[in-house]
This record gives sequence, C-alpha cells and structure tokens, in this order.
Amino acid sequence: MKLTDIDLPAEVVVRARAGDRAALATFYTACSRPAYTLIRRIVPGPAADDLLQDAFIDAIRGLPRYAGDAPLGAWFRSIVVRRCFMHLRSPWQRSREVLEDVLERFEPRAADTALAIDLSRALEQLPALARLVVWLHDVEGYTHEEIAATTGRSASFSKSQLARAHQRLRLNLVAAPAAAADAAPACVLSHMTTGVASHD
Amino acid sequence: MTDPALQPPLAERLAELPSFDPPAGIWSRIEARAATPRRRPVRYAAFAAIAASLLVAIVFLPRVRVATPPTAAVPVAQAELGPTVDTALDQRSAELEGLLAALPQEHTARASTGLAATMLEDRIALVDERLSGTSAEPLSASITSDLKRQRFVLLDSLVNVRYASAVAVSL
Repeated sequence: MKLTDIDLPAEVVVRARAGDRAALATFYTACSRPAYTLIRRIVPGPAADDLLQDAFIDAIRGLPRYAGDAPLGAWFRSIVVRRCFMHLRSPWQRSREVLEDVLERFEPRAADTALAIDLSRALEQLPALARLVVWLHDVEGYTHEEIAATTGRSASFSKSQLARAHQRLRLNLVAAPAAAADAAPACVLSHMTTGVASHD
Repeated sequence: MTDPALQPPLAERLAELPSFDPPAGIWSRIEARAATPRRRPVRYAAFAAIAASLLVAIVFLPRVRVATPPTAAVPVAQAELGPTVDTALDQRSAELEGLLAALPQEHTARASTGLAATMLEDRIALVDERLSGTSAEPLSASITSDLKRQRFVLLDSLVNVRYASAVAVSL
C-alpha cells in the first residue's frame, strides 16, 4: 500500500492533532511501513531509520497545521519526500559523495566488479538524485513538474535524470549476471571491502 | 536469463519491489523525541562542522603535491619527490592518529554517524593492508604515495566524524 492510499478517520486525525498518544500511534501504525519503504528506496542504509523518525517528528509537530484538504497519507508523503531530499542535499551527504568519488579511484564498488545485483541493488547504485527522481516518478506517480518543484530544478532536468537512470538500471541488470558468473570468487572480496553496500 | 524484451517495464518492476518493515522500537524513540525540546540546531552545527572539515581535507589533498616546489626546468622524477611528500603525509597521519586516540570513545548519536565511522575505519584498514606489501608484487613509489594520501584523507575524515559525534553526545 502507498502512503497516498492511506487516510484516517476524521476523529482520529482530530485527536492526533491534539496530541493524543493512541491516535498518534494509529497514525504511525498506518503510515510507517509505506513511509519506511519510500525512504529506504530513496536513501538506502541506516540513515533511513533516522529519516523515518525525523519525518514522523515533523508530522507530529505539523499536524495542527494539516488542513485536511488531502488524505493524511498524501500530506505525510510530502513530508517524507522533503526529508529525503534534505538528506540527499545536505552538506554532510554531499561531502560523503565526494569522499566516495575519491575512494572509488583505488577501490571500485561492488557493482563494477562481479557482485550479482538485482533490481533493488541496481536502484541503490544509482546516483542519489537519480534514485530520488526514478522512484518518485515511476512508483509514487509524481509528474516531472512535481519533481521539479520538490527538487528546485526544472522539469527537463527531471526528464533527463529519469532517462539516464532508466538506461543505467537496464545496463546494470543486463551486465551483472554475466559478470558474476565470470568472477565469482572476486565478489566475496569486493563485498568485504566495500563500505556502505555491505552494511545493508 | 530471461529475455529483457519479455520482462515488464521497469516502472512496474520497481513498484513490485518488496516493502520494508520499520525496525522495532522506532515508535518509542519517536514518542520520546516528540516529548523533548528540539536539539536540531546543535546537531546541524555538528554535522556542518564535519562537512566543512571533510571538504577542507579533500581540498587540501592535492596541495600536498602542489606544495613540492619545482626546482628544475627538467621534470623531476617521482622517485625524487616521493620521500618529501611521503614524509609529510606520514607526519600528518601520525598527528591525526594521536588526535583519534585522544578523542573519547562515546556512543554515536545517530546510526548514520556510526556507519560513516565504521566505513572510514574499514577503508583505512584496507589501505594499511595494501601498504603493508602483502601482495605478490611490490608497490611502486607512486602507488605508495597515492595510498598514503588516501590514508591521510580517511584519517582526517574519521577525526572529524568522531569529534562531531563526541560533541553531539556531550551536548
């Protein structure tokens, strides 16, 4: 189930707005799984746990401002997506991306060696912003204009990101099994020596 | 292997990927956080400090080489420059290791910080292994210098992560 399909009864929303613990727990129970899935697909790794907490904290604090003009799940999804985007664009995350670029010069990632990957892993190996665009568009049903509004870029930027992401996903999916068959022992070493990928 | 032409479009396949269950205990942490005053400015300050320091370290890295003065019109052999650069890197790395030893070993405030530190430690161990020359072929001077540069960057990043984590925990 997607977040946009979730709507709670009006009385639960009213009680949640007032800070009622049981109503807030109902909100969490209804939305946590689709929210966590959305976050994990955009931000793979342990940071997803922190982002889930942050998104719910934002929502709980923002509930008094929820006008009820859209389903609660849709309103919460916009908070989740904003949290993910803030994380991807944070100075800390961008610094880590720079560091990863430096490191890859002497130690290629698993994808470049022989680790067999599926669609899920191929998605994780996309650049952060491309991953965000492809998931929002293909799975969450965002239009390019909506993605542009979320990311502060143009719709044509979103389109080009999506096209390149699809191309790269297809390449990874076609190439990986053959590479894995060619060099099975190497994948063990590469899995051991790659940082983020091996922690998930 | 399945013929790609027979497979459903990517968007469909992406939508069919399995969902994830949130880890147990998240709700109790959310409740606890919602009941306490916000610490966000402090946390952002700590992470901004990490990011800034990390960028400085990466920007500094190329200057280690640039700082070696060209003394002749004829290009100087890498072997002649090597010891100077390597000595400077060894010295700075030793300083950073001293700083690391002096930092308190606190629990990290966030999982992502812990992961970053672990990742950096793993990379340093990998570089150390390569520098120890356990492989069949001996390392050339240029590869050794490059590995030492990488080690310096990693150590510097680890110091910054540990420092910011210690600050976040103590506040």
